[in-house]
Amino acid sequence: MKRKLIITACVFLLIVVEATAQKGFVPVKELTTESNTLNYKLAGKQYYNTIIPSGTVFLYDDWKDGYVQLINGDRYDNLSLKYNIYLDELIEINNRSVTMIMLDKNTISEFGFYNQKNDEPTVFKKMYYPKNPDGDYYFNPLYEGNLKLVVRYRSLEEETGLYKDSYGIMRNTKYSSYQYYYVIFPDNRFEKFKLKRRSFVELFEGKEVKKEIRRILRRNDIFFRNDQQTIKAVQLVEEAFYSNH
Amino acid sequence: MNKKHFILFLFLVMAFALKAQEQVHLFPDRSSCVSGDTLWFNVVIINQTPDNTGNVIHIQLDDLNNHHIMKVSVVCEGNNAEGYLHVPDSLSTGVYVLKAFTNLQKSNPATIIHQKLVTIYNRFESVINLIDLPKTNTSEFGEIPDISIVSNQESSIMNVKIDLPDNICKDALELIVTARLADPFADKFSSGWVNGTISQETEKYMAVSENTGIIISGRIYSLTDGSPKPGSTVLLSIPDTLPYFDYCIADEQGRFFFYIRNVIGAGNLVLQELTDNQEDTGMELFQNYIETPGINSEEQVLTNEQRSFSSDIVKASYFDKFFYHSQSLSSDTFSIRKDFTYPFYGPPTKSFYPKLFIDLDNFTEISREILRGVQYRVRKEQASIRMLDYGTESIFAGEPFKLFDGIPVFDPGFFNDMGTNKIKRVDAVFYKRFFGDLRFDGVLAIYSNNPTLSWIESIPGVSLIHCNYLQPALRWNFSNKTSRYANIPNFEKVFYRERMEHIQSDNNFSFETSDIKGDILIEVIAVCKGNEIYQSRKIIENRKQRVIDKTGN
Repeated sequence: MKRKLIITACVFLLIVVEATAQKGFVPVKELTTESNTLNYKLAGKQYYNTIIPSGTVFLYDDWKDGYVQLINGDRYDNLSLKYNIYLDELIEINNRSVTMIMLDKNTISEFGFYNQKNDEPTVFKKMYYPKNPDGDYYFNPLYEGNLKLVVRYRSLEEETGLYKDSYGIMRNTKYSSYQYYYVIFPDNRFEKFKLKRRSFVELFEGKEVKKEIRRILRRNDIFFRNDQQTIKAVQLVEEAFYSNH
Repeated sequence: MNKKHFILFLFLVMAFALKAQEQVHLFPDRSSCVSGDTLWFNVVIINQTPDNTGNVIHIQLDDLNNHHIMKVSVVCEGNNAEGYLHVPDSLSTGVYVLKAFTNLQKSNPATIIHQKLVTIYNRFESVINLIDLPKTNTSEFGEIPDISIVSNQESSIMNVKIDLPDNICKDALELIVTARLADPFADKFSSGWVNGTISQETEKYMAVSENTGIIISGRIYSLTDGSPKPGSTVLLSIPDTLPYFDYCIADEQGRFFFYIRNVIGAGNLVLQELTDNQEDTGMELFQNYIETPGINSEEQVLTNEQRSFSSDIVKASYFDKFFYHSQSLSSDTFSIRKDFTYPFYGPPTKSFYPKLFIDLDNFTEISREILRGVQYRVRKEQASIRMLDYGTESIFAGEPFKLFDGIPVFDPGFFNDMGTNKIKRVDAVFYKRFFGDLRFDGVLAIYSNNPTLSWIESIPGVSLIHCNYLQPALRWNFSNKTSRYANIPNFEKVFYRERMEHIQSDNNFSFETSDIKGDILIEVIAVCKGNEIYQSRKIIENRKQRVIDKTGN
C-alpha cells in the first residue's frame, strides 16, 4: 500500500515537472562561484526547438563542443554548441540553468567547433554581407589572404508534395541544407560561385585575366572536387593577380 | 663539500628568481612638491613574463608609517606609462612614499616594491623647521658611463647639451630627461629607492592580470550580525548612455569581484544584492592598496638653506595658484568604451517614447495606453508588472527585470508616480533573457529625461560608490616652452621633461628657468635592453634669476 503511494507520488511529481517544462520554465539551480568569470558574460535569449518534419536546421544535429569569441576579444571554451543554419544563429546549452540559449549575434565575433585531437577547429566568423539581404552572417573561412574564400551554410524551407511526417501529420515542406562558396575581393566585394571551373573563372573581369586563370587551373589540375582544390585555386589566382594588394 | 655546492646552487636559484621577477620602477618628475601640486611620474615595467598580458599599474602615495593617502591606476603603452597625482591640499609636511605595483604582484610574496621617497610641504605652513627624515638605506641605479651634461645660460634661458656614449645610444630603449629645481633637503635621498616587500596584510583576493581594466572587489555581509553572505548574487551597474551591468556570486567569505574594463576617469557605481530583502545587506569595497613595512624616521631640523627653499616654494605655490588657477587639470572625466552595440539585455523588442503621446500622470496609465505587452497593476497598494513572452506566446509568470536609468529596481511600485513628462524612453524585451547564468522573465528598462542618482539613497541595501577607474591619459605638456605670460612671474619647479624612444648621442634642449631661487638639477634616466636602468644627475647653478621677496614681487 505504502509502496503504491510512493509510486503514485513520484508519477505525479514527474507529471508536474514535465508540465512546467512544457510551459518554458527552466529548473532554477542555486548559483555558485562557478558562474563568476573575468569575461563579459554570454548574453542571449531562450531558444525553443521547433518540430522539423524533414531535413535539419542545424549544421550538426548533435551538440558539439566548441568555443565562442566575443567582439571585445573575450573567449569562452568548452561550450556545448549547435549552429542553426536556418536562422543563422548560434545556440548554446547552459549547463547551470539547463536551458538552450540563442546567443546574441551582435556580441559574437567568431565561434568554432572542436574537431578530433590535434585538428584545427571548424571556425565561423561573423562578417558583414553587403548584398541583399545585407547584414551580419556567419561564414566558414577556408582561406584568408588578399583574396578570401568563405562558405556560408544555409538550411532552406522548401515546398514538396504532400507527405506524412514521423508524427503522422500532413506536411508540404522540408528543410534542405546548402553550402554557398564566396570569394571576397580586396574591396570587400562578395561574389558567389559554384564549384565549377566556368563559374569560378566568371568571378574575374577581363578576357586576358580569364584566359590566364583558365590556364592556371588547367596546369594545376584543379577541378573543384573538394575544398583543398578550391583553396588552391584561390591561392594561385591571388599569387597571379592580387599578391601586391 | 656537497652541502656547500647545494647552498651555492640554492643561492644562485634565488638570485635568478629575484632577477627574473617582474619589477616596476617609478620616476617622479620632482623630489618635492607643495600640497595641492600635481606630481607627474613615469613608470616602467621590466622583466614582464610573456604570458602576463597585464598593462595596468597602480601607484599609491603613503606616509612613512604606511598610512594610505591616495591611489591612481594607469595604463601602459608597451612597458611604460605616464600619470599624475593631485597631491591633497591638506597633506601635512613630511616625507611620503610612492609605491607602484601591478595587481598580479600582490600574489607573489617575493615581490620587491621599489619605493620612491618624495617630500611634501604643506602649502599653509609658511615656515618649516622640522621634518621626519627617513632612516633607511636606498638603492641606486648605476651611473651612465661617460655621459656629458653641459649647460650655458642666456638671461633666464638655460641651454643644455647631453652627450651620451655610443653603447647607451645603442642599448637604450627609452630616455627620460628632466630639468627641475634642486631641493637641498629632498634631493639628499631622492635619487634612489627603498626596497619594500609586500606584507601579509595585503588583500590578495583576485590577484590577476589587469588589461586596460581594474579589478574591483569587496565583501557582502549581513547588517544584523556582520556575518558574510556567501552565495549572494551581487549586482553592479554603472549608469551611462549604454548602461554597464555585471554580477558576481559571493564566495564563502562573502567576497565578490568585478573586472571593469575600458572605464576612464572617476564615476559612480551602484552595488546591490539580487534578493527580495535588501534591507539586511551591507557591502564594502576593498581599497586595493598594498601593505609594506613602515620606514623608520627621525626628526631633523632643517638647515637655513633647506628652510629658505621650502619657504620659497610654498610662497611660489600660492602665487602660482593665484595667477595660473585656470590651468589645473580636470579631474571629473568619465567615459566607458562601448564594445557592444546594445546594453546587456540585448536589442530591445520594442522601444517606446512616451513624450510623443498625450500627457499621462502615472505608470498605470502609461502601461495601458502606450506600453503594449506590459501589464502594470496596483492592487491593495501592491504593484506588479507582467510582460508578454514572445517565445511561448504567453505571459510571463514572474516579474520582469526592471531597470531605471540602467540601475536594477526590484519594487514595481517605484514606477507608480512616473508620468510621460518624466520618462524619456522605455525599452521592453519580450523574451526570456539570459546574461551569464542569470535569467530574466523579460526586461523593462526605463530611462528618465533627467537622470540623477539621488533616488538611490532612499532605497535600503543599495550602495552608491564613487570610484576611481583608470586615469585619463594626459601628457606632461604644460612646459618645455618659454614663459606663459611675460608680465607674470614664472613659479614652475619642473622646467623640462621629455621621454624619448629614438635616442641620439647628442641631445640639445633649452628651457626657461623659473623665478624661484635655487639650483637646477638635470636628471637623465636610461632604460636599456637587458632590463638595465642607468641614472645620472648634475646640479647646475642658476645664475640669472629674479628672487621673490617676502611680498612675492
